[in-house]
Amino acid sequence: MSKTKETRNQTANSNGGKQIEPIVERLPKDFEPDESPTAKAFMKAVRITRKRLYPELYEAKKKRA
Amino acid sequence: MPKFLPDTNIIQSKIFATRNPPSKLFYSTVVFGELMTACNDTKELKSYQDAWKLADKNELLVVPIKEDWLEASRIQFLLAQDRKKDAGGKSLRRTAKVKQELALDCLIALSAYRENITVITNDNDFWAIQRYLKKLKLLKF
Repeated sequence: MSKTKETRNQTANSNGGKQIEPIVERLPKDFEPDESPTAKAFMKAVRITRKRLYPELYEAKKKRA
Repeated sequence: MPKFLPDTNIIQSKIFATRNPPSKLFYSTVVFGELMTACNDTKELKSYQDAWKLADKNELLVVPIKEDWLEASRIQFLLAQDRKKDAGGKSLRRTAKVKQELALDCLIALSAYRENITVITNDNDFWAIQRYLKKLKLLKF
């Protein structure tokens, strides 16, 4: 287990060591994407983070292109 | 139109890379703070600073107010009491990082709740918080 995962589990166990079983509602797949200038600026920043965290995603994309 | 606010763990997750965020998106100053703290270089930091400024200009920033801090403290206290009760009187010691993350999650949750915004997150802490903030809207990504 990675250190991050371990930390997450500790946090998730805020309920006295019990694993919380939330009633989960998921974001629908057909939502309308945010195309506003703010969202674009935000996603530009997020892409830099993602490239740093998951370089393999972008390498695979490059290879496909 | 429903309003959404992405939590830090969603933005940093691999799954977020494959789907664009939904409309209408709001931005937490707490999430921005967490993202900027984790930046690797000034280019990344500046991109978030630019997005912050634009979100502020367009009134899309969600900022915790003093009442949120007060309520966040109450919720953290209640969660700590739960932990103690479940552990038979003395709960396991948590690291400063874990405590800080929960405190920030409480602030994100409370400020979003006050503005009637749905938090998009995969972090179970938010469902623990929801036990004491029943009307908090949450969605998994």
